[in-house]
Amino acid sequence: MPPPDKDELQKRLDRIGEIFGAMVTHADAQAKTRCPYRDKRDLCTAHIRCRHQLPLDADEARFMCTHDGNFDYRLAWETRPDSRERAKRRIEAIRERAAARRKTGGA
Amino acid sequence: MAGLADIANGIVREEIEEYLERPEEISRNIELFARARPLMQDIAAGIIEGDDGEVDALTRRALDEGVEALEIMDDGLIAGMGIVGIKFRENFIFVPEVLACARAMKAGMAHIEPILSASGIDPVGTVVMGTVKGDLHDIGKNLCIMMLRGAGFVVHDLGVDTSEDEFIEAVERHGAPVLGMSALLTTTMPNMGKTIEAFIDADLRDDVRIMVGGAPVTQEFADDMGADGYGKDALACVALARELVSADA
Repeated sequence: MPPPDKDELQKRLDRIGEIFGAMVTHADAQAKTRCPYRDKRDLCTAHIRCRHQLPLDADEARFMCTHDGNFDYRLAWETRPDSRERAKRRIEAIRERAAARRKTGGA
Repeated sequence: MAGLADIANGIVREEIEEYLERPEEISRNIELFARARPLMQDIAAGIIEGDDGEVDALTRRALDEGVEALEIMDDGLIAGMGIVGIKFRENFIFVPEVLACARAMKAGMAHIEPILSASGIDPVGTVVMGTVKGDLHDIGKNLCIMMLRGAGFVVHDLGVDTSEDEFIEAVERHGAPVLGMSALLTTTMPNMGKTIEAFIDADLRDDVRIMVGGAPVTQEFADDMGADGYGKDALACVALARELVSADA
């Protein structure tokens, strides 16, 4: 079978890109009110612990998300200037140590 | 005019009946699926259910039976993903379900990729992606990966909690010209800087363009770390990856 027309295939790829583009735009908007780890059954799918998780089993294999929705997930980790400053200092220190190590030829 | 009863696959029929509300979308999808052969409907159902194993097997079977790639894309993969997009837009499903559907789409597209190459459509580029050491957040990274794959990139996903050595090994193994790192915590974000320094130490920094992203990351942080670019979201990530690949060419 001869390969399909390149332009026709490209149209399909562009359509897939459009569908995904609309999805990530919606995901971004939705993250203002709903944690993206919360699935349609309101279960938490994250592999991290969160204070809004309510264990559903004794072995804590499944968690219900109990958050009320008043939440901008995107900003949740951006609101503490002191932690940002600490991160900035750590990045500077990492670069300085690496530069010094290279200068002295250390491993 | 076709009706719901003309659609052979029960899952597709139920999805249209239960979740589609706009008249033009209902009639368009009924027409589409009613004329689609049952195997294409089954592929679409696999996408809607996020069943990557099923989509993988059915797409393979369709190609073996001589169904053209364009038909598989139109009536199976894209048709199914179209329903997923509507359900997501209307808040019937959420990001975790969408990502499962995107994985199923990838399983089907894996069989289409050789046909794309044979038609002269090569991958836009290869990208290695991962969340840095100590960080287990993956949603943002996974959305970026979904978009990158949709845009024609080959993406190697290293998952979460990725060490410097794992990033280096993957970039070397896949010959990737672009590396994307994600972090969601201010405490783990400096590990992006550590990884960039590790690439310098391994004498590989000039071989790879490094992009960074995640909630706490900004352009300023990216510059401080010595990254080549910062993407604020999945759309920006694709634009940046394109830019870095073309700069590398």
